[in-house]
Amino acid sequence: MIKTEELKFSYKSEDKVTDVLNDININIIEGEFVAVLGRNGSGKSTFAKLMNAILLPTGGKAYVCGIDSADEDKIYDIRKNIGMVFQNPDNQLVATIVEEDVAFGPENLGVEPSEIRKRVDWALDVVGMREFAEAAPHHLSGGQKQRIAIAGILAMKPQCIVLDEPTAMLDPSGRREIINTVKQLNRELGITIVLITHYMDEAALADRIIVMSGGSVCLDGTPKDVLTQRERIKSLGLDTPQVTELMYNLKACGFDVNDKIINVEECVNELLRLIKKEKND
Amino acid sequence: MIRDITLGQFFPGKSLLHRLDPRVKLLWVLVYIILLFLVNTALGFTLYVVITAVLIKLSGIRVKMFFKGMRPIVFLLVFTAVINMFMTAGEPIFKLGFLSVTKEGIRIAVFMALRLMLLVTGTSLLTFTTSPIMLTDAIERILSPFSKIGVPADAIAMMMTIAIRFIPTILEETDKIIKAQKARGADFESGNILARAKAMTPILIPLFISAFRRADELAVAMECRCYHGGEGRTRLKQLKISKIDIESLCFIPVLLILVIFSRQFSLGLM
Amino acid sequence: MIEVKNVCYEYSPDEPSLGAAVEDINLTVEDNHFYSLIGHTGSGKTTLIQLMSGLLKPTAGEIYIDGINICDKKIKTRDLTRKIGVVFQYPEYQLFEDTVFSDVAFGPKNLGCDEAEIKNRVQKALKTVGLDESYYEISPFELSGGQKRRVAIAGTIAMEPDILVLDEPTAGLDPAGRDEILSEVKRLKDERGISVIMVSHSMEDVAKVADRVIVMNKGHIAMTGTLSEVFSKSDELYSMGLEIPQISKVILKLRENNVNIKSEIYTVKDAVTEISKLLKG
Repeated sequence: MIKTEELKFSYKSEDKVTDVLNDININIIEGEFVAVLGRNGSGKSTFAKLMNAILLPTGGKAYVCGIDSADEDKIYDIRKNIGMVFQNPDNQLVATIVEEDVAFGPENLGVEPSEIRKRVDWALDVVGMREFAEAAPHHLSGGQKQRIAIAGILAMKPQCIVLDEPTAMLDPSGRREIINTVKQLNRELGITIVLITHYMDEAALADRIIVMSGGSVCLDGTPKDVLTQRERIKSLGLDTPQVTELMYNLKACGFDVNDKIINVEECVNELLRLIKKEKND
Repeated sequence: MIRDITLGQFFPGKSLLHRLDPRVKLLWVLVYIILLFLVNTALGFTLYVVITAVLIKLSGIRVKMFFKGMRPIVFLLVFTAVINMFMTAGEPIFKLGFLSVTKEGIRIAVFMALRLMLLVTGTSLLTFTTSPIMLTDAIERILSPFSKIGVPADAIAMMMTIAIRFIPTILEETDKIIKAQKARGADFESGNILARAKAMTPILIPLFISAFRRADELAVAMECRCYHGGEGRTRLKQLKISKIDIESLCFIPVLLILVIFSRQFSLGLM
Repeated sequence: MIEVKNVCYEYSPDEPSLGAAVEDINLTVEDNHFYSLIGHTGSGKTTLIQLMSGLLKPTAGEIYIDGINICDKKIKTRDLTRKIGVVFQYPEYQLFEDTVFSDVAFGPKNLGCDEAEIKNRVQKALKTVGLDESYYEISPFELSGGQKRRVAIAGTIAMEPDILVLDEPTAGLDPAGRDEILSEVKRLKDERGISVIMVSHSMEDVAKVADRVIVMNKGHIAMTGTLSEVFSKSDELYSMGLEIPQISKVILKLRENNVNIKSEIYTVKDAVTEISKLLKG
């Protein structure tokens, strides 16, 4: 789906060249749910913008659905297949009525009006916002606005959606709405998801986590592999889930525990096993 | 203060007025305004008030909303009324020092006030019953014949849509920034005009920076959704002239005749 | 000390987007405590903050700060800023001066401090948020997001209020940036003996720093009390769309499985201590 070869990006300002990304080699396959973690300024957002040709590489190549992103003639083929959702829901809604906004993408693609209607209704159904079709965006909550933004991307029928910190400005219930929607898109519609986030619990839901630091990929693996590398994760300015932290500390206290744990269920089961063992001894 | 602005507010509905084609509505508002300035008799204004009242009833929107829309022009209303009342030469009714109120003055003052109120109500009827998107669509269609001579109809329409979309957002933001600076002890209320203007800097700079940031982010988001100008763009909602549109247009000559007719009847005092 | 007595505030019904109404608020904020204000978006948290800091006047009821009725028309917002300082959400968007120093100096200048006092306060405030002299003459707009946030927070700290209110000070920051700001605020509170009221959506953060919690729901105060008084009512919190820290969920599950462990555990540190005790028998 997305493949990069020695991908580099740098920008020039006042004869100073700043490298943002260095030699990124990544292959994201179809149907995958990938979370990207990293500190602010680690190059995550730049990476996202390179995936749909909003930015073009200054070195190396990015292939999106088999198309070289530098191929200007095919720029709209790339963009309609790789949808983008950004952090601030307010700054990505164009129209004053929800359904008009969802229709914006297909309208730009020149889709037939009757087909646009179908797509808009379908996309609003998928994100559970059909009843708000005629509402004004500024009367909606953050989570609802962000779901409209997702619907607007869905209406272009993309193969992949890249979400750049979509939950950063939301409250816990808004976050839950978005994460459930994203999971559903991946599981039920088979859409490839790239989720950039600061929340470890969101990353723990992905199939794979990529950690970026200083413009390079420094960890890449399953959530279990990545999140349980406690020292490494902390040194990168990130956090591990509280349950992982607990197991790490128990192990450090000399208990014989499995510290490859990233969710509550696993943690409880492991602790129960331990307690039972202790009783039997 | 910020929350009083109803301008550009749209109330969704299914009334006859909501269903009219926005181009027809635009034409109607134009006719309404032009003829309003031809009206010069009590009979004419009565006619206009009745027609407007019927239209408000038809729109199904609460009368209160129309009065709310008039709040920003209250000052203008009173100001013009007072000026007209005192400054018009004619037969004096009573004197207030060196100022005298004339019969003609009262007449003009009342007519002017009525005209302004009807003007606001008439345009509100359009904006209340037409979604901004429909309105911009209509403008785009009306302008599209001129695109051959270089008028960027689609870009104008897009700019209007975005402006309307962001008005509430920017107003809310202004409110937030004002409060934030007040919390830092900023004073916007005292001092002379110069001091007050200077006191606006802590509001204006953040507001501009934020507007530019929003514009930048929006532009990227639009590009991501394959926006590339009006070329090859289709629309979810197509504008279609239907039977009721044609029927409503037939009333234009009727109104014209009624207004011309009313000009012949100048009754008594008025 | 703040005393809020039977306070109501209603927004104009035509503009729901501007904020939530609050009703029948009774609250006492005591000196030298770290309060956390939690609640769903639209529960009235921001309205309450604005009422307490005099930015909104209640439609009914009274608010006293150190015995002074702040609803009195003679009291100016500016005079209140000595007592209560508010850092709004995303405060970096209120920066406007050419240099970091002068932006932080804006507040003290408005309070009528003399040059020497201003300088002293700005230096102290910037030191608190971890920005040294090398930043003084830099334009705040050239800083990173996290640094801008610190400058904005310093701007309020420099006014040296007795009560510091922060509306989601860590929103959108990466984990390391979040922890830094939290510990800086906590240290400030301990050193100066002031009270802090922090709005937060992260229960993990709340558990880390706060000793008192105020819960708002639908414009009312749903609960107030110590951290354990509030977090022990996890079912009620859930019903209001709120959570408890992940670690507390583990403890709760263990107790459901008849493990004999105390329920008042809200941080990883406590959990490690208690579980070690349990395992060592």
